[in-house]
Amino acid sequence: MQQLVIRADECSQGLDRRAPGVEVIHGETIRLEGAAFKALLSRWPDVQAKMQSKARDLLAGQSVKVQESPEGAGDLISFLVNQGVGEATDVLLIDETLCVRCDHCEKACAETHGGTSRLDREAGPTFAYIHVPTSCRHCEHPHCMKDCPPDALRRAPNGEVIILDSCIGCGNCETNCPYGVIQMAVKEEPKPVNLLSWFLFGKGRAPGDEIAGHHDAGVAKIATKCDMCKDLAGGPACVRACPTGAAIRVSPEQFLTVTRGTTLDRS
Amino acid sequence: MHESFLAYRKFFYLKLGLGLIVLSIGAYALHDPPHGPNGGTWLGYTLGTIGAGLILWLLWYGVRKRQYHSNLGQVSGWLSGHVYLGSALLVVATLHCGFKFGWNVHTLSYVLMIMVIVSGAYGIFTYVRYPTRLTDNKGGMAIDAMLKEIGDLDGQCLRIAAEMGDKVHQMILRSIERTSFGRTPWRDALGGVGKGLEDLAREIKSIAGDAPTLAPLPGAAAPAAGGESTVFFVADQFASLRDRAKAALGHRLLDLITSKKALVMRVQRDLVYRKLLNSWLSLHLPLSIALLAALTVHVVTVFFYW
Amino acid sequence: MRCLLRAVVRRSRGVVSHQDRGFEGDHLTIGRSTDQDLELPDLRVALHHATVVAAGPGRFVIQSAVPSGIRHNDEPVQSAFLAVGDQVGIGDHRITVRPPEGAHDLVLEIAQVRADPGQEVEKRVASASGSGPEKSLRLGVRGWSWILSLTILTLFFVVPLIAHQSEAMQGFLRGIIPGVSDHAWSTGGLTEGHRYFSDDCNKCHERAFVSVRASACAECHEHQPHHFDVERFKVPTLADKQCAACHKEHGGAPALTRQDEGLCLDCHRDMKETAADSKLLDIEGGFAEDHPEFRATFVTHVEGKDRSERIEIDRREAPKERSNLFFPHKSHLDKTGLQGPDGKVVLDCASCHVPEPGGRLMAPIRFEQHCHRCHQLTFEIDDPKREVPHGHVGRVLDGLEAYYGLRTLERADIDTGEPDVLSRRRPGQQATPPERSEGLESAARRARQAGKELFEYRACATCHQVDEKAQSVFGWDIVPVRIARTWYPLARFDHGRHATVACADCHGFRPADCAPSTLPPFTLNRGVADPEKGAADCTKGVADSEKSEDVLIAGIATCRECHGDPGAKDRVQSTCISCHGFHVSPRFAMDGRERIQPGDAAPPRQAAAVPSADLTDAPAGQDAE
Repeated sequence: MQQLVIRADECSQGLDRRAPGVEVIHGETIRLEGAAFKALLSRWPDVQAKMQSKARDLLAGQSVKVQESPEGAGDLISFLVNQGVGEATDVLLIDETLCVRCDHCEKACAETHGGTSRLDREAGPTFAYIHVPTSCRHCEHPHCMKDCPPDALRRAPNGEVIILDSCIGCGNCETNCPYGVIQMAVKEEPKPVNLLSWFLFGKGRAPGDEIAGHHDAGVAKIATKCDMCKDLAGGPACVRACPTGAAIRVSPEQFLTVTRGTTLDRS
Repeated sequence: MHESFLAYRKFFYLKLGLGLIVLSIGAYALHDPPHGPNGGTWLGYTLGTIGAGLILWLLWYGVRKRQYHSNLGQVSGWLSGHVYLGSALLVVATLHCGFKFGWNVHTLSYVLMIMVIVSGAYGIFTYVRYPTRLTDNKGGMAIDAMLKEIGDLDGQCLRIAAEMGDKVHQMILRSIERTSFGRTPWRDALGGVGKGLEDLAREIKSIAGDAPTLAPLPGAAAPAAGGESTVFFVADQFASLRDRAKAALGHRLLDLITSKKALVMRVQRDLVYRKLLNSWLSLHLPLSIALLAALTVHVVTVFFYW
Repeated sequence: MRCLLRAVVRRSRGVVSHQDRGFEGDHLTIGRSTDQDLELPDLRVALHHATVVAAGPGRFVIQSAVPSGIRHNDEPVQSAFLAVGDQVGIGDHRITVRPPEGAHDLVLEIAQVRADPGQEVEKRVASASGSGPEKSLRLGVRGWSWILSLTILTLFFVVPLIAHQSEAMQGFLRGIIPGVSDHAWSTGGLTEGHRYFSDDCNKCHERAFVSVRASACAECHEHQPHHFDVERFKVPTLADKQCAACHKEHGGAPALTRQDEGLCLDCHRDMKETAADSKLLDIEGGFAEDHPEFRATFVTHVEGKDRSERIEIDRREAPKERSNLFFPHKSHLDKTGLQGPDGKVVLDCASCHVPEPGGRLMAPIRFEQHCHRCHQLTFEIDDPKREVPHGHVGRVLDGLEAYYGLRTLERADIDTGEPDVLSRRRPGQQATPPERSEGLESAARRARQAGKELFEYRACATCHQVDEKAQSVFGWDIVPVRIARTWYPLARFDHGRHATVACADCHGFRPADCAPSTLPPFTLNRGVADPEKGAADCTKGVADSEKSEDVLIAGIATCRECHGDPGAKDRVQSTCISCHGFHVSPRFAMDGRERIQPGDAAPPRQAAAVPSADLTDAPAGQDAE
């Protein structure tokens, strides 16, 4: 939408397009004939005025943001985009200057999701101390949906990609996902945790421990991935459980805010 | 957008802790009890209750941390409170006892509390210092990838060493066998395998360089403790060796050993950092349970012999 | 040895086949070189890596020939005994020791282990990344937590608690290992006086979870006096007060007794509320500003009766003492000296005023000690050494009668002014009864005359006030002398602690005719010798006092020159109990009972003036010099 406005505005000013636009996601470009558009705008001058003022505001806002963003922020954003984070509606990021590698995010995910963590903290690349662990990006164009026989992968109304219970555990989605976020988990309810007896005697399952048999072949499994803890009051368990505040969930619009808080800004 | 637990909600708990400290000091300064300040004055009882409540709440952090379903605030908020109010506890407890110490169970619980707070302060220090260093040390490479790379380098070293003679081969074998991590944490911290590799490089130089009377080239520094200077020194040596082929092999071997050493140092450092991020807890946790026991004894005995 | 070497070959589809080879010899060489008995073609094996030798019948040992060693059951070693089931790793080969078969006494199964690079790598890292603190301690966090907390609970709680129920154990613990007894519960040291029983906490802490009661203190402090007459006054705030309200132990001596002014002011700030019919004045604050002017205790004579009254020392009309004695200090302290029996004598304060043993108060003036040297009670010129006793009128008159009677009967040469009936007799002739009685009557008359002289003109009359009352049996009555023993009986003053202060710095007076319109507080500043100053506030020194009714005692302003409130920087820090006592009632004890039972001797007159000895030692820091 932004790109459309800029182009239209420049057209209306009779200028050639000067600012190249980078597409973050797969988008569709509509080409309008400049003269026809100009004629349209002149027929409705108040529409033209509205468009021009909106364009001006957007430009002004963007340039401020760009000026304020530190050096190298562009690099960080390209890194994030290359990781497919731009595709996502919501992604988990870990600030490695705060992360003490305690794995509480994994334990929280496992504990709130039947004993298997959908998050692998260590895996994933890092750039400028921002680490992208393997967690679902809830892509605009989900690759996992391509080959699901029972059609168990759907998108929820709020944009999240969810796996329904009809999953048969074929593993196609796991293969297809370019980011490796889908894991095949054992279909088994873990034993409940008795915190008191665990604290006192170490008896029973430790909170956050994953079910044994995770890696064995031949055990019935279903596909699992991050579901943004949509069923939990309070939101993502990983963010809630991170002691140092390193784990955050962002959507792409908030990238600039994120980079502002990183070491790039601190230097 | 994201903030460190220390800055949680714009340092809310820091302000709270400071406020508590200021209030306690103010009350203590204004209060002039007839028999001198001690735990039995009304202010002593108040501060003692606050302190005991604080200790129980601080201990509860360990429970809340593991209640992954809980929605009672965020764990980073709890940690922020834990850190700042735990520090304020130092002041509260000291003023509670009116600086009266002795060889008794009450001072024992005070001392345990001090140890808990100090070990926790060190913990904060590690939490602030080491995460960045961990990432820097990895240099974009995963640890598993580094270990795999070390394995590959080992294989290459073996192939070359087999051609250089049995003595060199045995030395390389020994070096590979001794390359392990984490068995003895102190060995890792003090240089460990990396140091062994330096010695290895030195030995290879002396083996590969047949001529015992190799004069040092002008300008080259004598081998110092650092592996780098050893490597450079040897590299200079090799330039004048008679057996070119053997020299070339030795050169290549040294390259491999240098790369391996760099990787090994990284892995070791990674392990050391992770250990540091955790080892303080082995003091902090048992001491805080001991503190709980001592606190219970303190409170009960104070009222037992009221 | 005879050895069977079995090579295990894994073919496709999981099929396993063996290749057997026999070996006979003293030692079996293992290595990469082709000349080895057991050739292992792996770069991680040295040319000659290890040797197996027999070490006795049926026992074999494998020895490494290279520094890198071998792995025996995953332990890196240089040599090891081979037992059935052992696994030796050399390079990527695994040699398993099997039970002997047939003629072979050693069977070795050799397999090549295809190591997964990932697992290979994991093996190298003994403790994986992210290891918790569990692995740092052998016992683990939980183990140490249990150990520490159980140790603390046992040693410092359970054990002393059990001992609390068992006398023998209690004694043992307290004596031998006090650290594990209830001594560990003590919050501080005891005061000196309580240390001799400090071993036994239960002497004071009688019951668990109950604070120390007065009944515990009463074991030794049973007769501790109360503060006031509980029959006359009812003060609800002091009823049922425990000793611990003011006396706290376990803080050392400074903390034992409450020192703060609040202790007293809480009640004495408003006496109407505390005890409505008390005559005590209210005091608002500390000594320096708010303590009222001292009120000395005077004996006054009202309506024919002697009464004691407290009169402010600095009233406009200078207070007068009615001691019924004539004593001018001025003439006695004459610097030029007095004519004594042995020559000129110059008197000073110390000539008569001597501290009693202990140094607190001055010893009472005694005629026999201090006055008699000059003031002799002679009555007869002809017998200058003879004196009447210093005593009751009756005794004096009896004495005179007896004297004169004796002299008369002895026919002494006494000029009585009367015809000497008895002297005109022949020697050897006994006096007749009528003569005797006449002589005695004359002696009696002589005695009476002498007595009159004494009582009305000289000797007794010099100092005493004599009352010529007709009703009196003897005709004269010496008005009883009422000298104040202690001007301020409700306060403690210790002359001994003020030994460096000159008498004149505190003792002086304001003469009766001194009444300028504005009077500064009655104080004898140091340097009263300064006549200017003396004139300004018309105070005078003792040496100027001509009348015995002058009250020569200091008022509060004099004390305030040196004494101030607690916390004062330029004064001696004094609090209420520096001078006043709490446990001062002569009659009642703290538990409300009477201290003196009927039939006991009357309490010494000075009981009210002299509080119990331990309170006179002002604790360190409060009234330190």
